[in-house]
Amino acid sequence: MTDQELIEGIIKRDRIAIRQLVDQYQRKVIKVAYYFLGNMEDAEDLSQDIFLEIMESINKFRKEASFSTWVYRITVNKSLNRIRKNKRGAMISHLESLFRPSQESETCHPGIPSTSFTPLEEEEKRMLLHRAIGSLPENQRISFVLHKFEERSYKEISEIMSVSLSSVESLIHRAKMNLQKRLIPNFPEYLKK
Amino acid sequence: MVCNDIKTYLSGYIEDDLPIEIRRAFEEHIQSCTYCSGIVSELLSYERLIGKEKATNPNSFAGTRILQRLESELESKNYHRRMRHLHLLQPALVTFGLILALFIGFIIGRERGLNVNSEYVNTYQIENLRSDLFISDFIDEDQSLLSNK
Repeated sequence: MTDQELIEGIIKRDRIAIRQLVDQYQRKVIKVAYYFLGNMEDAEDLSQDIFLEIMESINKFRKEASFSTWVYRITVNKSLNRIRKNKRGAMISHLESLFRPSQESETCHPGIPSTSFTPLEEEEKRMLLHRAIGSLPENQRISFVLHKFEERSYKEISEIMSVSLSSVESLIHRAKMNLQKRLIPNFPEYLKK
Repeated sequence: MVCNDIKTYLSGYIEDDLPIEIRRAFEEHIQSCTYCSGIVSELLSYERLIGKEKATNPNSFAGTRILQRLESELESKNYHRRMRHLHLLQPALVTFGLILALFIGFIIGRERGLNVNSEYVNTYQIENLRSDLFISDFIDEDQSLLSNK
């Protein structure tokens, strides 16, 4: 099924086309969401909303970019919205915990998993990595994730983000520099240089 | 190569994207400098972690769950669409019912009106007939009297 046939099928709410859409894009969508959120359960949960959004806004697809670029764009936007929502939720629960002094609340950072399968050091590093990526400015984060994790070309990233190629290069470079600073805090002299 | 150069080439080294000569010089430096080698090994460990993260796969049932959610949303959308159509049809159905009731009432009324008229006509005709007969009786009597005269 070509992209065009797939789009027409989704517009008609054809079940075969919908199944094809999910089969073709679920891995990409879940993984991109995971790279942003840092938690597979959250990513899988969000992917349902992403596919729903794809179906609902399929009529808005203007064919200026490829269908996969458009899917990536929706995935990135939805992931960032979820992060914002999580942050707001965390802020509210933090404020609530301030007014509940006696309760010993188990702090739960959004987007950080609690799996105990990996060795502690690696798990700590994983958390630090996701936190460092999460602390990057939004555009740097998007470009870095799509380039480093998803291995998208600069051109594709520029289409997804609707920015120029040179901007993407610059964003990725700055993202790498910022990440180095955040990931090696034990080497202050290097950071001063 | 000195420590200050490491920062310039660090990303390139981590991503294996340095020309051979520079790479060799870089490696020579980090072999002799524990500080720089510490930085490199730390960043390389994150690079390996990124590789592992890339290999992380979603749950094999994730696709099924997505499809189930989409199907249920589609079903509920269809239901709401049907209900919306019904809501739109409701005033039209009520209006149609009223018009139908008026029409039936009109037909019944008209039928009854016709019956009344026909009864009236029948009564009128019978009376006329009687009077005609009565007159004709007189005429017959007059004619017989005249003939007798």
